[in-house]
Amino acid sequence: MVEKYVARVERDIGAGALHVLLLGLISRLGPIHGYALIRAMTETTHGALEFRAGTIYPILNELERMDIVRSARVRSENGPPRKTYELTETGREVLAATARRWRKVHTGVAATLGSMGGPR
Amino acid sequence: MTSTILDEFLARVEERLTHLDPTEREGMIDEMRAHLEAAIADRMAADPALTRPEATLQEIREFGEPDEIARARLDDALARVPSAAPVSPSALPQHRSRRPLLVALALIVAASVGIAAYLMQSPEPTPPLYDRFFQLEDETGVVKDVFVVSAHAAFLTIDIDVGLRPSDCLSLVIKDPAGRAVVNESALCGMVQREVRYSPRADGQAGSWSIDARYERAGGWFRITADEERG
Repeated sequence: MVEKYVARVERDIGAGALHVLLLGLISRLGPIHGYALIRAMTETTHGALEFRAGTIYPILNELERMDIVRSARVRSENGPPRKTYELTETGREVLAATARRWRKVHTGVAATLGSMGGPR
Repeated sequence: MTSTILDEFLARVEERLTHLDPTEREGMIDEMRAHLEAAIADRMAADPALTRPEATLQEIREFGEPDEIARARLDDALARVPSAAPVSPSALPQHRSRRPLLVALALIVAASVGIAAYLMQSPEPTPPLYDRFFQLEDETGVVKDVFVVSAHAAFLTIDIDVGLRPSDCLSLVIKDPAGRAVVNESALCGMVQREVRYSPRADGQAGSWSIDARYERAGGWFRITADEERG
């Protein structure tokens, strides 16, 4: 029971953090192709955010459908053209809203955990 | 051989992306192929001792299962958002059509931020308890090996990946310390994967586990990994 609860909390944490990180990195590094984006996600979190690289592409596809990211095909020096991603105007608004929320919540939760002197 | 592994994997992913139209599906598979090719090259550059099939297999394993990839939809993530959590309207841009998405994304974040910071301080992942890769070129043989599960293991996960030619098979028996065959496969043929999970502490299975794999004129590869989670 407790294990299921912890697994669910961790899964939800991962989902939320993944989306904010994804949008933030596309904003900062875009236009960027999928492989570089996924590497940046791994490096930024030092591997602590668990996700499978293959699951990012369907999510990017849906973000594109919702006009949150747009893609372009660019020539590659060695190999076929690569698809690159960047945020649209809508995507920038989504990121701005989620980033505001993130900072606000992070401040409160970090303060609470810090004052508890709990696990690190 | 390596292209076959990659091609077969991508074909399995493509089969499952039925919710996409053919053009989108093809584009996504091309992207995944480019990703995997780049990742394989990087992995081999980082570890020159690694063969291309080994690097390919490792990348495919990290990339995700075809079913898992096909399930990775944004709706799934948004559907997990608790509906009762409050959100301030002023915190979001006032675009009616986008608002549900914004609220959902904000709630995901709100539900997760603090513990995410805690998780990011987790120690680096440790290598698995047992991880062996076998390359076969029309070979007949027997592999016998052991791995030791500690008394502290709460869970034991054994992954078996087989990438043989379609007509080739191997048999595999893995026994726990009491001699019980917890894996008993008489014919693993072609490309197959198995994942089995045990609770060794509950079942008194700490100690030496034995592996016995047999094959006859088989070509391809197989890999066995075992990892324990302590709790």
